Amino acid sequence: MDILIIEDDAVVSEFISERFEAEGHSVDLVHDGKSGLAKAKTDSYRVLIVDRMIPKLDGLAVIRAIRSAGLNTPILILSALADVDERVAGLDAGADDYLVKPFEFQELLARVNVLSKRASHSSGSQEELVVSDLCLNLRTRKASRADTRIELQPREFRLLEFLMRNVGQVVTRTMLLEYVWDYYFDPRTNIIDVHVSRIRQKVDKGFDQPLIHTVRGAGYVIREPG
Amino acid sequence: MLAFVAATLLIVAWIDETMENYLEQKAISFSEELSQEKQDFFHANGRDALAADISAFSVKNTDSREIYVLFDASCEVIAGAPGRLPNEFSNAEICGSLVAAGGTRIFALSRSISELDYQSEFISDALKIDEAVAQFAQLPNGESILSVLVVPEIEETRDFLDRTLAWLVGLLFAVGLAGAIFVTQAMSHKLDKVNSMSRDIRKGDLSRRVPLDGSGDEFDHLSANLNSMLDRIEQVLESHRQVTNDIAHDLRTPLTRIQTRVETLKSKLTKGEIAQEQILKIEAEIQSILQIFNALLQIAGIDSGRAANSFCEVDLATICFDAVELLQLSAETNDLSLEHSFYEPAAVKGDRNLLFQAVTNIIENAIKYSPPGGKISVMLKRNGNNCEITITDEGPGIPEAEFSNAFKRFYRFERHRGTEGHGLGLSLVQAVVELHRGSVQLKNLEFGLEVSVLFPSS
Repeated sequence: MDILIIEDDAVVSEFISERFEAEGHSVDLVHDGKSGLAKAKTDSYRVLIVDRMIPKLDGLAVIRAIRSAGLNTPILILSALADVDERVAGLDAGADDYLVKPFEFQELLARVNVLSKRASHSSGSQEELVVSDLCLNLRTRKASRADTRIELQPREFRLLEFLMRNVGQVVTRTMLLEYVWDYYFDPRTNIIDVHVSRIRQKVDKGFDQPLIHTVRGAGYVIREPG
Repeated sequence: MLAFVAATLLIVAWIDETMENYLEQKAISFSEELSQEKQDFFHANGRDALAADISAFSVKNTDSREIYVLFDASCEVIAGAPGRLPNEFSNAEICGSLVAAGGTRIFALSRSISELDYQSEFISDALKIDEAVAQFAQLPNGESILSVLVVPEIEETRDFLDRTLAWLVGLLFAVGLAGAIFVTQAMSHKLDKVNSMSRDIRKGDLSRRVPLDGSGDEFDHLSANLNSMLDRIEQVLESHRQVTNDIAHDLRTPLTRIQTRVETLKSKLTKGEIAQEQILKIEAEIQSILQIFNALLQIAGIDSGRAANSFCEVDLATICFDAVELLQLSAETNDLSLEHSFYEPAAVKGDRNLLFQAVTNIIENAIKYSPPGGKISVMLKRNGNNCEITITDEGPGIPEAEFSNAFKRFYRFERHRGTEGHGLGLSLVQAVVELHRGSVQLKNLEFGLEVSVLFPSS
């Protein structure tokens, strides 16, 4: 099983499980905290999606119980509670990501994909990120493609690093703003796009095989050519 | 205040008058008693005994308050001390005119008066008792007796009375003034509450109410009425907003589903088909509707004020710097220079994400409306207890008449129609600024627009 969704709202939960299945994920769906916790403990999932306000046992309690049981499964909170302190409370309880309702499915999908991949290979203290012939040295903070040096501003370096850490996974504009600039909101204009296109110019210009791609309606992805 | 002074003076005058009349009446009745006593003595002991008694009294009591003079029928003094009479008229004159008038007369004797009113049975108002009150009575044998009561106390009493009254007036003034100040203060305190509430409401905080003190006075009534009126207005506005938000909220889900279906449909079409082009257009339209709904719902969320519960200390300088850094590339892409001038940290209590979004929105607007080659500057100043962010561009500005519309939801200026955007950017700015108890102002410069945002610093 890929994903466990603990969500009591029938419309939301059915909609997202339907969409995840369409994307090729297998999904389990429970509607209250107690059975959610039981399922999370007995079955093995790649990602848990937990609503905060659910019957029998609230979302934060479920997450704390999962963490204290020693499970490291990535958890994404899906909640209508949008305030900063709610977010902080969610992450403090042991969640890895927090998405506010209402959300766009592409956003949820991208975040779940990034989380599930993060779990599969524990990145930790990598010294170098490599995608095809693009190389990013995290220690010397130098980037190169096909042995040609690429000059990057600190922010550009972080942007490329985030893309490369999630190679093959779509990252949304909101995710980029969150991880690269450390601000959390939905940029409704093209402010992030201009930064990505600057990076693309530096990385892909003059090469036959572009590495960075735009995913319409979702965001960006860096992937191995071919 | 003037009415109070007038009333006080009137009361004092009335007291003065009444007391004076009382004293006069007292003196008159006492002098009548004295006169009656001498007449009774005459009837009991005869005329000679009376003459002897008066002579003896006059000799013995040269300082007495009582003076008696016995006149014969031709107004010659038989006994008594007429020299002590305090008036400038001769005894014969007084006696003569009194006899001519006949009967018993009461009159005032005074050095200050120039005329005696013998016609009156009583002392007329014009003849105020100054020093003495006299009673003239004819005896049955044709002789007559003048009994005078010297009343210097009247003057003293009046002085005393006047002094007391002066003090009283002074005290009354002091108490009145203090009272007036107290009442004014209490009133202005109560009015201040109403005023500060209406100021807050004008700024957009419709949840404010006048606190009731439970005294049940007129102010409490007024406040209660104002409050219930505001409740009603808030209800109406709230339901209006609720409808807008409900529409946005309820339409989101079906729209999202349509979007999903369109995506599925798109994946089944091959590239280059006309249908796919149409599908892409539909997708873009749905995307833009969803964005409007998202923006609306975000503004509604900010308006609810919930975010204020999680405010913490943030540095506006960092936020502005980050916004400038984030948008530098957008500015360059549009051939604009984006500059900033601030060096010191400026701490405010707030939500850094919302503040960042607000500053970003203002700068994005400036970028959108600036002609190529223009300059945009972001300044941050500390102004006493406030932090002020000023963002100027070299664009066309906004007609002053439209300033108040600039922050309205979905408002788009005539000249901006046809450009991208949904008219919610500045609404969000205003919502964020109000959430932080700040204010936002627009000003047209010679070339360009200045947007300044004022935040109370922490």
